[in-house]
Amino acid sequence: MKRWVIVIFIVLFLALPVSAVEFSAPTAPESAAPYMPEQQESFADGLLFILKKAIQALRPELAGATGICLSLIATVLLMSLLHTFSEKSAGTIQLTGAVVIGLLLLTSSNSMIQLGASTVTELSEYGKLLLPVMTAALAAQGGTTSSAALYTGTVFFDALLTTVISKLIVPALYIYLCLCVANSAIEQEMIKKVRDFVKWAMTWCLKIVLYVFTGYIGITGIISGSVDSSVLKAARLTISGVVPVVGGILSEATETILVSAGAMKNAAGIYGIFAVLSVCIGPFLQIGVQYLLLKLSCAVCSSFGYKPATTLIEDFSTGMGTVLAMTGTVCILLLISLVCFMRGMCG
Amino acid sequence: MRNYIFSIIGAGIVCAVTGCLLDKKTAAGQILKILSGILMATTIISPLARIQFSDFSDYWNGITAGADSYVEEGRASAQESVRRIIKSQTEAYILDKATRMDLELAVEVELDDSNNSLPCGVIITGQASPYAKEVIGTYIEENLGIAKERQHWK
Repeated sequence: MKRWVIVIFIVLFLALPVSAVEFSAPTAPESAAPYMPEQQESFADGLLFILKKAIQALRPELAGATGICLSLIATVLLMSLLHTFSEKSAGTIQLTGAVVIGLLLLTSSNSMIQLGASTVTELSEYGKLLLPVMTAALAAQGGTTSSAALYTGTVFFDALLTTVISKLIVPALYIYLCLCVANSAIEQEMIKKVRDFVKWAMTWCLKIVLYVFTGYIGITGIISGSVDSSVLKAARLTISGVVPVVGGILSEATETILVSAGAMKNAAGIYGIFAVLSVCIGPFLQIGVQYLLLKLSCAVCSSFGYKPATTLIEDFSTGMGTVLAMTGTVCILLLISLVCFMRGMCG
Repeated sequence: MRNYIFSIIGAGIVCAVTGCLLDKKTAAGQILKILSGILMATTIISPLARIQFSDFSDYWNGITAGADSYVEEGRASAQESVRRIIKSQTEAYILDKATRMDLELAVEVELDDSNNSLPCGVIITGQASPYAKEVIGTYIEENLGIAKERQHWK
């Protein structure tokens, strides 16, 4: 019996393959779990799975958002009728209308802003776990300069974007919505100008960070990619100069590691992309539905001919557009970075 | 953020009160109007003055140090795997020759510490005739580049 146990252990030990490098992506956050595809072999199937799950989860949200929009349309219709039949109290109607629409929209907008902000934080936290794995995997594949440059850039811009969103854009969004209600209630040129400035500043911040990040990725990709390929070429030249048998073994071992590191990196990258999309897709669709329904309500309300209310609804939809943009920007930043890691940045 | 908003509101009130109290047509009024504009602008851009570039430099150094450590981790992991493969393949190569000569040997190859991890020494354990030792020693020297003085028989 003892002998058999020893034999089994020896066989198992000998059966172990020469272990190559191992890199695996961190497990997706809990909120992403319902959307994560079970198999990651087919990228298209994975994407389809995430989309299907997200659309299925959207139904209750859709009902809630539709209810708010119907209330909005009814309110604007009532305001429009009151405005037509009692022009003398137009100011009071305008003020009341702004307050009612503001109350109807501020609660849902607040939850959407909070949802967007928490998604941004979650994406950033997951990125902090995933990026070191991708960096090590790309370095193992020979992209030492590229991986360092890509990691540094992504972490820096991700931190910058997260800080800008939490410290600047989210408070500015609340200020913007308050200014929109104030502008709709009393229609003052100064309030309108400040509101436009806040809107411009928010979108400008997001655009600038994304433009600078893509510029950084483009430039460092070309430079560090060529540095890495020259280092790899030099290493191959050295190998070809040693004793033929050793050279053969060396070259085979290096190729095995490069291929296995590349395969692991791509597997981790695809898992990472699915995880990022799964974190993002639910909130993104929820906010997107709110945005589209507000746009639709705005279009319907514009037919009643009561401009202050229509403008206010349009302003709120712009606010939702900004929440979408901030969530999407962080998601795109991470996706661009992951794709660059997978490509190896060979400029 | 709250302090910043309060400071802007405060500056706005000061500017508004100054504007109401003074006659704008006089030279003093014009100067005070400009001064209140400067006060407002300074209050708005005041957070920029609080930015400390040494903090940024520390933060950047932290990120680059993190990047270097992850790169080193990946590179070391790949290097270790390459070493394992080279060691096992080289040992298998020597054992194959020994088996063809009907010898039962155990082999342990040493690798150098260079980036290429070249075989630099070997410890061979087992019974072999002086002739077989000579043949295997020459074979190792010619094919694997390990000099005879770095081949140790036990």
